[in-house]
Amino acid sequence: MKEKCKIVGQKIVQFLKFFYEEVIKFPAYILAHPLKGFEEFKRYKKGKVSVSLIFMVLMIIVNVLSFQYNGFLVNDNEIKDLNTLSQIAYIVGIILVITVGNWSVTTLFDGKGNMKEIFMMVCYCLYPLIWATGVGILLSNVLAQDEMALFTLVIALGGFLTAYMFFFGVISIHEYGLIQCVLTILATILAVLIILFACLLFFDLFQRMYGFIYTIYQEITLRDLL
Amino acid sequence: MKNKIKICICILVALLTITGTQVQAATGYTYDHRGDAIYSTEGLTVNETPYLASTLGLNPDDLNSPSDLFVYKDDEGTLIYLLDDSKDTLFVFNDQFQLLQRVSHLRYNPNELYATDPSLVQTKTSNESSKPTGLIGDADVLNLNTPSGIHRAVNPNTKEDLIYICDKGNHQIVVFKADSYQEENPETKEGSYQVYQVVSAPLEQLGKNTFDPKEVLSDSAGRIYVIADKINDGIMQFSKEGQFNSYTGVNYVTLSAWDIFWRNFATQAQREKMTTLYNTSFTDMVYKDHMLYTTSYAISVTKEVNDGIMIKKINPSGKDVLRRNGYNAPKGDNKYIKTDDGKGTYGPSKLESVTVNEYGVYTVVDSNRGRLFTYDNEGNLLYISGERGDLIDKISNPVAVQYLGEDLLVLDKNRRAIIKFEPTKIGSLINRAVEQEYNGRTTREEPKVNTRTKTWWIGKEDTKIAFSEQEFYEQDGTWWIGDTNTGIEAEELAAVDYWEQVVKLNANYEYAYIGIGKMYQNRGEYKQAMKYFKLGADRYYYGKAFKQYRDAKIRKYFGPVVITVAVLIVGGVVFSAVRRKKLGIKREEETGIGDE
Repeated sequence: MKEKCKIVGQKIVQFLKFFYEEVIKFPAYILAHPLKGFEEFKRYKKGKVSVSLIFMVLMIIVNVLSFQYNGFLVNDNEIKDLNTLSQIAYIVGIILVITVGNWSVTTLFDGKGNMKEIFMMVCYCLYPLIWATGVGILLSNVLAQDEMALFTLVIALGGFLTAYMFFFGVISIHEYGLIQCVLTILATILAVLIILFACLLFFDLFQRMYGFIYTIYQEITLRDLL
Repeated sequence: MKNKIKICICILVALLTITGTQVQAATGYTYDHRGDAIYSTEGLTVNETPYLASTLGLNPDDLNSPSDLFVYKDDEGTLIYLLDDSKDTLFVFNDQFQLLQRVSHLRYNPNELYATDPSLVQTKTSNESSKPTGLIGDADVLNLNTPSGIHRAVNPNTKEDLIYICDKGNHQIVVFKADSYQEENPETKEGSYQVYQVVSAPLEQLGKNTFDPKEVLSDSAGRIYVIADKINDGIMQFSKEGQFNSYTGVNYVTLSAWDIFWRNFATQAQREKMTTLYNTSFTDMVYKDHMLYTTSYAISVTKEVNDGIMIKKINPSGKDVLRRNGYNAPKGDNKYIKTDDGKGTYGPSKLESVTVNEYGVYTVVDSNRGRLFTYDNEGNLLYISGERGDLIDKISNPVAVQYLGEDLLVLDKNRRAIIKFEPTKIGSLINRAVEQEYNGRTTREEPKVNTRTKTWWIGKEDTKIAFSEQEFYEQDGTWWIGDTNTGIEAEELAAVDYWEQVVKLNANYEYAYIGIGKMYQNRGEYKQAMKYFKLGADRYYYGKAFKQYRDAKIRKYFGPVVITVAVLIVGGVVFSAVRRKKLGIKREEETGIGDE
């Protein structure tokens, strides 16, 4: 029994250490030294899929929390509109679409990164946004109306830092130069739009097809042909 | 087991009978702070059969096509003026709807006119259905022709008590003194007035027979305002002498950026195919406290509809100063089907008429869906009442609304009836609350408690009442709480008292929560105030209450927290220093041993 407790305790300590090292310290290092950080991320395999997934989950949690717990002064949402599933789909969908978009562009532009690396990079980029949203929840419950500029600043800073990380991430992962990176990011945005459009089109066509088949089914059943 | 179930059922039934008693108001709807339609209570309801020709003491064909209604109130009482534009008659009733006067012609004497050119005065020349009009010449009777608007006002400067009628078929406005009435037939109450002034078409602006006045009123300086058919330049303003001054309060067409963009690229041929855009003309106006309240249809620009200025409050210099501080801007229905989808009514509300009461509450009537929208002075939507339908008490083709005290009269052209709407219980409470807010009595002091006798009171100590526990009720036109013997009169109540009752009747009534929140704010109970402002979705007041609440918390806990932190820091430093000293000695000893 005692042994077991010890083992469990050790494991917990181990996990906390891992969490601190990988989820808090290393991304902060990347943020402070983006080129060096992503170099380690890619070359020395310091980026981990498990950590990426943790970031994704954290982002979902923080997003749902901010929907419900952001202070009333900045929160226009009504709790009855909260749909956790759609929030999950929203975050996961965006990450996947950006990943696929970036991958499809960079394979054409001689990018060196593979799909897994791109996915990890995109997830790591959420790091500042998670912090900003989390801090935003706290701030929005403390600040008064005329001090809300601070809240806006924090959220904007989070967004900016995420974009900043993504920029350097693309440079390092794909071993690009500056101009090529900018072009790739523009192309990625275009690719994302195309993917969304294709999805929409597919969805619409599928719906029509379903409608068509359903009408035929109805016609047959109502006419007693079967 | 069975017994237990039986007891449970008994309790349930008892609960249902207890809780299910209070609901009596008809279910209507309103718009919440996000602009969505939600269930609510109607503020006005029809309690008696509408007034038809028979109940008004008229012949059935006297009221073929009623065109306007006006309620005039002075010290002597209330008079109701009703126009019919098929029989060209003016009917006057008292507030009990008893016929007092029936005027189908006016006495005319060219020598007794004020500021009028007799050579322009016209009259109906025969009673044929086409109603031809012609110059009056030297006749001594002026026959009205399709009268469509009436107004009565006392000029505060000259003390002249004048009645204005839009004599639409004769293309002029006829003015006569209210005291010039002479009864000619006591049986049928027929009589006539003496023409005092005739305002003819402004010949510099319009042709002689293109002036079709529809609504008229006069302001406190005696100036005459006219809404005329097919005039898109605004309200026509005439001097007291009948000289045209200017147009005022134009409903300018505003194009969206998108429309301007497309119109830039359109070819001449395409542009000709597009609908020509006119400024919309007004449908009705009413005068109150130097302001003109007006209604007009929405401006439709292809698919974009500009419904923001359908209700206007025009100040003497012609600017729209309507307050739009509510959750949604006043415009009738807030959400509607924009284009014809073949399933029924679509498009914005068609506001036909407006009326204002003494404390700034105004009601507009929508002929598209037959609804009455009531707003307060600040632009808050108070309640929506009425509906379109084929029953006699439903609205079909409203042409005029007028307040008769607290009641609302709707003149319906299709029904040929005056429909009288009375406030429901909640409607009456809301009106009282708004009235008190208008008068500046939003909140009152907290009720004091006599701990010995366990009674509550406000104001003078001798009017003791059991306070917030009691229901409100109405008796002899005033509101009371408690009972008449020990209760206090409505005069002493503030808006918040009524809001509390409103919320009891309808928890969906969001605006009332703001009123309650203000009371707690004034009393310094910021936490409660925040709760109510949140319910009322008022971020401005919530922000204020929140700041007070937070600052109070900071003030309260700043000292202790700082002291605790300081103590902790000092303690930590001391502790670590002591520990280091001990450890240091030990380590020295240990290392000493280890070195050996």
